[in-house]
Amino acid sequence: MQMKNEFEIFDSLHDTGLTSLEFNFEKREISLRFTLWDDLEQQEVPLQLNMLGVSKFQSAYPENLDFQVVGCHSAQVQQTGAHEYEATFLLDFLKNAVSWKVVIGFQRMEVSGGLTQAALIEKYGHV
Amino acid sequence: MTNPAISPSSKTSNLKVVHKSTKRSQQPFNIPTIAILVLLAIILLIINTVIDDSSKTSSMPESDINWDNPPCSPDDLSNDWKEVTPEMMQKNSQRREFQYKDTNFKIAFDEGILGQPQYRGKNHWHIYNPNGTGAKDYYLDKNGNPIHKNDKNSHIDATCK
Repeated sequence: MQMKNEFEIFDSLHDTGLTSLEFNFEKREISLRFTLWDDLEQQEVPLQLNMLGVSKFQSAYPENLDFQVVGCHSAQVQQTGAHEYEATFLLDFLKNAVSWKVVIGFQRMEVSGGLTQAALIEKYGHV
Repeated sequence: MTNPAISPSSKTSNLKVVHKSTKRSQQPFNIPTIAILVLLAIILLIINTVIDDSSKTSSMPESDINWDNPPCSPDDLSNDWKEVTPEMMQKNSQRREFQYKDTNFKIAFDEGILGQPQYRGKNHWHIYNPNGTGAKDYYLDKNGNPIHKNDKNSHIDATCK
């Protein structure tokens, strides 16, 4: 149940900023740092996903494009085994949206940061 | 022997002159001057209003879309818009991109997916900022102001009413 709640964060990863993608090969971890926009406070808010027990990393990198990653178009997660999950990120480049597809297989996930409840209501309350 | 310069009549005459010049300095703004100043103020106000209006709309690239009442779908775009959706985008997302004439002005249509939460479940437009430098000014709002990715105002509702 806790895992399901953590996975709800993927719903809000539409059109966010993305500042880093870090690997820790020894620990088999991948961290992604996003920037969300707080419409109430009018400021950036960081959100970090740490994927633990990484079992897979697939990247479909575009040819002939400068490496100018600015954000995440969308993200989805699906369960692939008893304790196995797979997240797919579609990443935006500065002048080319939805250019880089990254798939990460993992076992557990930690979430830190993100918007306050009030900011979420401000952003999605009318949708 | 009487010195005309210090005679009573001369004194009176000099005092009168001084009195006249003092009277003039107490009224620096006569009616024509005030009218000119009021006219200048009005002109400055008009210039300021024009500059202010132009700065509000200057960042929105020219096109035939009224963003207060945007098209319901790409089918409603005029022939001045050509679809430029890259293959990668077409294959992996519900986004379609359109370019205005031969300019660098591009917009995106995200088709809502039934059952998906938040914006992913709702048809909406995005206006790319042709001069964007990163996530902080990636899009424009409907008034042409640069805004951050993930700003709620970057999502322009395309629901038909």
